[in-house]
Amino acid sequence: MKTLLWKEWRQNWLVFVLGLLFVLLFPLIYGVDPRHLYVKAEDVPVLQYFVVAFYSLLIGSTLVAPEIASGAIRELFARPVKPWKIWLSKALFGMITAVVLVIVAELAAILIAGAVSERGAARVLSSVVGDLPLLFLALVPIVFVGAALLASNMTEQPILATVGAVLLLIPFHLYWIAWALLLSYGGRTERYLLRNSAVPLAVLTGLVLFSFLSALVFTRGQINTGLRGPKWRLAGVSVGCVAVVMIFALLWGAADILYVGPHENFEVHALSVSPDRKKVAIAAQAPGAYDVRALWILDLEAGKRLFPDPRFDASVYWHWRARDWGGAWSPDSTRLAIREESRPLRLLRGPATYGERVRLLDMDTETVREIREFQQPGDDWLWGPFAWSESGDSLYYVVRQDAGGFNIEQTASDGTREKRIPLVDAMVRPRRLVSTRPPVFLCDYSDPQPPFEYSDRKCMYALLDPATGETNVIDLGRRVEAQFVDISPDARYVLFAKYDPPLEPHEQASSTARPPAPLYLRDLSTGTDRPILEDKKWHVGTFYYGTAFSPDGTRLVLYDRQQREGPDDRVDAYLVNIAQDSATRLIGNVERPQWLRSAVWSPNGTRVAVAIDIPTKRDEATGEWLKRTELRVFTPGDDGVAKTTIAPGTSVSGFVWLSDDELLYPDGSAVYRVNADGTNKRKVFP
Amino acid sequence: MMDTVIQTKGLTRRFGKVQAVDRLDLEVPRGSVFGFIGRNGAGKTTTVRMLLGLLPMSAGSATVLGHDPRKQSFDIKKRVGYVPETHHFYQWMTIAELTRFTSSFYPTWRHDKCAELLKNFELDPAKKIKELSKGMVAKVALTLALAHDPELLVLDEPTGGLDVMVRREFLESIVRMIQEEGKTVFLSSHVLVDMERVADEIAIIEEGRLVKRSTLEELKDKVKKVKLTFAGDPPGDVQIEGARNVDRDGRQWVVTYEEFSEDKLNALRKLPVSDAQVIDLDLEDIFVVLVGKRSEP
Repeated sequence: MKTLLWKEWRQNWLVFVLGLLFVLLFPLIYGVDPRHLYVKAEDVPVLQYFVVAFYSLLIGSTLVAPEIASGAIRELFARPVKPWKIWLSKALFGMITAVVLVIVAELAAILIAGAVSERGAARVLSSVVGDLPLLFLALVPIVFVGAALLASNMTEQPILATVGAVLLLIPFHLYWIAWALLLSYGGRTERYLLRNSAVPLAVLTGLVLFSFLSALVFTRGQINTGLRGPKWRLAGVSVGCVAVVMIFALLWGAADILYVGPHENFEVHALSVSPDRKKVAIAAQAPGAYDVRALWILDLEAGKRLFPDPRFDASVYWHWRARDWGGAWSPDSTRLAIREESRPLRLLRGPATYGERVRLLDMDTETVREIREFQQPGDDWLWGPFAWSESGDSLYYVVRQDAGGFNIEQTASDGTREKRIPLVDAMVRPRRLVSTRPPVFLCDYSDPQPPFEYSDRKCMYALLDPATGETNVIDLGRRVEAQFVDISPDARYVLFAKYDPPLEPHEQASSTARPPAPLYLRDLSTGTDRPILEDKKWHVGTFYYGTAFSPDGTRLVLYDRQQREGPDDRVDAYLVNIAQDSATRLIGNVERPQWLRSAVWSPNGTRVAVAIDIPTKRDEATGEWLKRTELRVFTPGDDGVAKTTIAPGTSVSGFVWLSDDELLYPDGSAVYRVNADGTNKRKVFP
Repeated sequence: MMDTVIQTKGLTRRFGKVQAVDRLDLEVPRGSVFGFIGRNGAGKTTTVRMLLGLLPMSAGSATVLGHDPRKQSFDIKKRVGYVPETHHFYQWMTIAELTRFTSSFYPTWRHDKCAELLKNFELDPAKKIKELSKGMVAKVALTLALAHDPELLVLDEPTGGLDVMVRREFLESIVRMIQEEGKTVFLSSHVLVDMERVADEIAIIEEGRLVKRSTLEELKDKVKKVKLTFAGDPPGDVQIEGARNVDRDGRQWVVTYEEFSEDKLNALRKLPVSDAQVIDLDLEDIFVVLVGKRSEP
């Protein structure tokens, strides 16, 4: 074996060295962004697939074919050496070459690209090590060697072997795509596919399959025996093996679809209680696999799950803010509109690059009605969340047209689409649909009139009533810029931070450069603006979590974040009384403010709850902060604000008020019900 | 019981509908130079490849040095020196690299013998294969086939493409080896002049079937031609017993016998002939007689 390997090396060392030089220099030739190596699957091919893998293909193609052409392989077969040893020496040489090239390519990228880029070599290395399933992609060149070796056994021309290997890899790739499509059906995305099973299994099956077939053809095929007959038998065996492996893999993929996994594998991220407080939608996702999601509907009175069969894959948008969760209950609580990621199989059209659908879940009949599907490319985009008309007859949602511009689509409660309401013009960009009474869309509205200079344009917003089509334009003036716009539930006040002069573009783009600004409330009935706390500038522009108007619109919870580097980064939470123009600090100096969740008012507005993650200590092994989560309930009164800390646990995001005195909150994979004073805590799900 | 190194019984090889080797029975005695002759495409190489386990047999059986080629090809290759018709060595290797590479496959490899053979053949170990002439490559092949002290040397058209001088030199080398070491040689060839110079036993194969198997002396004794000269007009309806061919040309007939004997000569002399001259045949003539068309005696 040693001699055979020596022979392969002596025969092919120049090709190897040239490949080595190429992959060493590749990061400099191609560019210096190490993300092209391993961050996501679609980036990986740039280096590994197309360079190392293709080079491996060439090497594999030259391992046998030229020796068949020269007759040297027959000379070798006439010696007392086992055919499988000859095959193994060739396979080992090809595979070792591929692995060395991959390793050198990775190291070159880490050291060269990583050192030059801002990510740094250490970060790149840690991301590589931390993403083990993706490392299976490093085996892809070996699969290519196997395919090329197989093809190389069947021809005298290396170039034909390369073409043959490509032809062999096409069905293999198609099978991968078919598998990926199967797995992605219902909303699973590449990240899940690649990380959890597709890459390791596909690569390993490819490796075993091509190696086995290559060894079989080499030791039993025509180049050894010179026979015509067994060639066809071998072809039959080969096709059979390919079919068996592919069917196995497809079944595996199908099983993966059907097998949802135990409930404990999911973390509940958002809850949405029906208006009659009898049902709750529980949105969850798998830790570490953000696109593996589930939606369960729970009948709180009956204590049972509705829709027990299908697992909805509802998008958990804004999961820290339950009121903006990507679903909407009808006013009579009989229907729930959800938006769901969806990439169905599209035979003859290729896979959808992105897809979503709007579905209507009927609680009485436990049936699902498809409202609208959006499949990219070549389709419109689902833009905004949903709102029901006050009567519950119509469901509204915003669609961004593929050609540009926006529509509000109105769908009847039975699922039939009623009409499209074109927005004023393309300059109107609906930001959110606000749960006012009646619902309105809050839209960015750029002034289409000259001058067009950014710094001198008008700052305008629009409130659009979908029921009447009326648009209430809010002109905030020229040479100002409003950020952080929100509206009170009664649609009386619009809150905004006013930057005057407007932010420079770099301040717009940067989350850290935005200066503090005064907050204003515009009274829409009078058109007057007044500041919240005279002379106070709020650090709100850098904080993503929104305000929380009380249901009657008289009070407001605000976060004031003084963003600084390191441990000085702090956030305070204030309760603002609009009428009295006074503010009470609810929470002060919260470290690591990204762990502060938006406030949620009780239905009658007497209490407000805030969830906060409190860092405890850093896990030395992973570098992650361990945390303790608290749900704090504040009860404003004449003599101050009473505070109750309840439900310490591991995760309290997406909590909701079940009634004026009861909260529902998730903790890990479970959902608990607790009184506002922290008593009577009990699990309701699962 | 005769000590045989190769024995085949009903050895058959079919390629689709073509019967390349048809129920071949052979016995090659130890220590002999066994000539296996036949026309191009007669099935010689197919037989050799089957004997070495390089090609599965369709039917029948064979043993080579006591091993079954179907199951013990590896053992056969270890004990057999094989020189194929064409040589396909790695062109980039030097002779030294090639011998070192090949030696790793043979536990019985003798480096001293290899060096001696190279010296005798006047081969420079530092030379690359691609720089060698055909004759030198043939000598390299013979060196590789002999350096591991094989018990059986299988030569499949070893002198094909070589000029007369090189062929003679090559065969002389073989004969010298055989004489010195008492090895068995299985020599497959259609160059009968070479075969006649070295072979002890001959097997003739035609269209996959064994036509004749005998020692060379026996063959020469048996296959004869008799030239008859008639005094007058030859008889018109005479039948000549045991003749393979009778070539009638006026008063001169040439009678060919596959199994010649004095009795048959005496029988010829009873005809009205003025002269009956026995002609000895060389191997080429014998081959033509045996594989040529039979005519009416």
